[in-house]
Amino acid sequence: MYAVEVENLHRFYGVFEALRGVSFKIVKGEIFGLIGPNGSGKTTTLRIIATILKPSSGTVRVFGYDIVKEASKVREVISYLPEEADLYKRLTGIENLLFFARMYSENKEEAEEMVKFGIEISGLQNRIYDKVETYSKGMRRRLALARTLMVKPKLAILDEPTSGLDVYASVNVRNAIRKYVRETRSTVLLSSHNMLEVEYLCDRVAFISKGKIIAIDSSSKLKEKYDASNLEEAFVKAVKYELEKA
Amino acid sequence: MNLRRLKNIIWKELLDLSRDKRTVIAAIIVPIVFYPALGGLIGYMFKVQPIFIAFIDYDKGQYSTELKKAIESYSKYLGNVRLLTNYTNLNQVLENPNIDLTIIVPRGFSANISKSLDGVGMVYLKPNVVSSKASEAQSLVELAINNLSNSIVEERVKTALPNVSSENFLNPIRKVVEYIGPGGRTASPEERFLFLTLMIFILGLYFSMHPAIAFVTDSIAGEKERKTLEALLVTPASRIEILSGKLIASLVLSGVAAGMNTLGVFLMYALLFGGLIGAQIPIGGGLGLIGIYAVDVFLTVTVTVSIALLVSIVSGSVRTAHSNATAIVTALALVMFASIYGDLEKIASQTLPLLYLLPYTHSVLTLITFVKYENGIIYATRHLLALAAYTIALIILGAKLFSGERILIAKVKKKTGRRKLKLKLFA
Repeated sequence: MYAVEVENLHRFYGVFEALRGVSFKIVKGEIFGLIGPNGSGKTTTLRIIATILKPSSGTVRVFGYDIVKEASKVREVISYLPEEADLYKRLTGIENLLFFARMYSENKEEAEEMVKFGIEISGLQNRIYDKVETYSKGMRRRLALARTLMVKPKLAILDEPTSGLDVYASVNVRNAIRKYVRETRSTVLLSSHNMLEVEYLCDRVAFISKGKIIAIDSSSKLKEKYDASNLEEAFVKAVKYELEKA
Repeated sequence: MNLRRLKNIIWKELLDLSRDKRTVIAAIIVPIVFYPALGGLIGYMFKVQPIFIAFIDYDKGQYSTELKKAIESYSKYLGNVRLLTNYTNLNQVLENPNIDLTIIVPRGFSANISKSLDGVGMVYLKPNVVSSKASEAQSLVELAINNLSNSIVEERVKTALPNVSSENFLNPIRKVVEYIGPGGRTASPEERFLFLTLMIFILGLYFSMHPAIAFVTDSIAGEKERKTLEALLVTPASRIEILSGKLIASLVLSGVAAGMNTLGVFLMYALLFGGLIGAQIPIGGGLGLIGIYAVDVFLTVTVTVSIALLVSIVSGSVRTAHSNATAIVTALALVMFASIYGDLEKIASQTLPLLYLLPYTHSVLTLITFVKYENGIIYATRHLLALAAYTIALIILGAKLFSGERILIAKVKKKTGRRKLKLKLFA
């Protein structure tokens, strides 16, 4: 069984077709990256997998559960970090973690374990009792990431996890994701337009452009296939190749 | 429904709310400070504002002097009335805009009254249209004139018809006024103020709705705007759990606000009457009316919360949600203001049954029917149940609309619209 199976996914916003037959599969324990420019359909794909949006057509299964018919089952095995996710600012860091831990846990002890793990992921031990409104943008993003990962979901969906962060904050977030995957062996699906980030984190990568997947493979194989020195160059060549083919 | 998750959502909402000082102040502090202050201020201003009556006496005869004395005598009952007799002509009075009423007694006033049994003396009353106290001053002067007229007629009757009772001659018809309450029973003195009491209570109902709007719009549209809702929607909590949690937290606020509002309105009532008539008038309808009012406020706030909840779900931002919800609630609440000028129960049952479709009609009718009918509690309960039914219907509708799809698509439509506008501008 695959962690995620996306088949011929289409999504319309009115007359605009945001996804035009997206298909890919993610194996368990894999870090899978979805790369594309702004407006390419990354967020729409992730939102559909996360059960927030419904597909216009096509199917998506997460650990065998259909995201439309079995949305509540899907939500029990996933955790999602939206691109612009923020936190409850009037609550402290630990209260934010506790709120989400209680959503996923069966009892108090389990929730407390999750919170402990969340504090560790966030690296905010010294500020965890402060209100979130006093945090910097980087601290908030780390806490949001910790909130997503602390529940140890079978599938973590991370939409642009380092979006809007400076170099240091981005490195911290990336290290936290890597450490988490190493420790929990969970499956991660992340989107980014930062090629360096994807190359550093992902086992396999899918290039998405104008609502279509144009290539899927490991970073090294994609570079090799498009005769590129880095993933950025490979992406540009892949898009160009697709245009020529069309 | 998972109770653990529901409890968790309520916990988060109340924690968040308790730290939102603006809303807490609006819901709790304002009613117990603002309402009594309003009542006290109106009462105080009414009490301390003096009435200026200018008395221009061109006659200087027996009856003009008696009229002046009669006015002075009645002024003592009202208190704070100043009878200004130093003016000698109207032009001097016109220079003082603070004069509420001018009385002109022309030359020959006393002579005209005295010359025969049907002699008539004229006085001119000139109330200031800009003055808020002019009608009160006019009532006072008319009372004095009537009194003087009566004593003149009494003298004339004694002269012309010595064997006739002057009192009966003057009053061939006697009236006996007995105020009646629900079921035809004799009303208590304080029940004579019931209409005014209801107006104060209806005003209190209107003011109670706004803090809840602020909280609910922040709770739903605020989460959308602050980008916290998307992550919440992906948790195992169902839509109905999320919505119910938010609603229950809102109801806790509504309950507290209703309690504070009732206390505030009670204090406003006491201070207002203390100022207006210098005495404490017990609330007609007694504790029963206060109890019904408390339940009415709670359910009125609950309906308002449900309306605001619905508006928040379909609105893109807190500002839009708040202004839309306020506009809708204010439009629906117009019946509250309209009820000041007419018997809403009579109008709805006789001429405009469509008014029953408005939730706030039932808020008003709860109070009106409670005091109007002998078994008022039964009628009031029916209207309270109507309010509860509205709430349930609105929540069910809200749960159906509360989807990630709707929340996110609304934004996309908005952006597309904006883009079209831009294209038009640059075309």
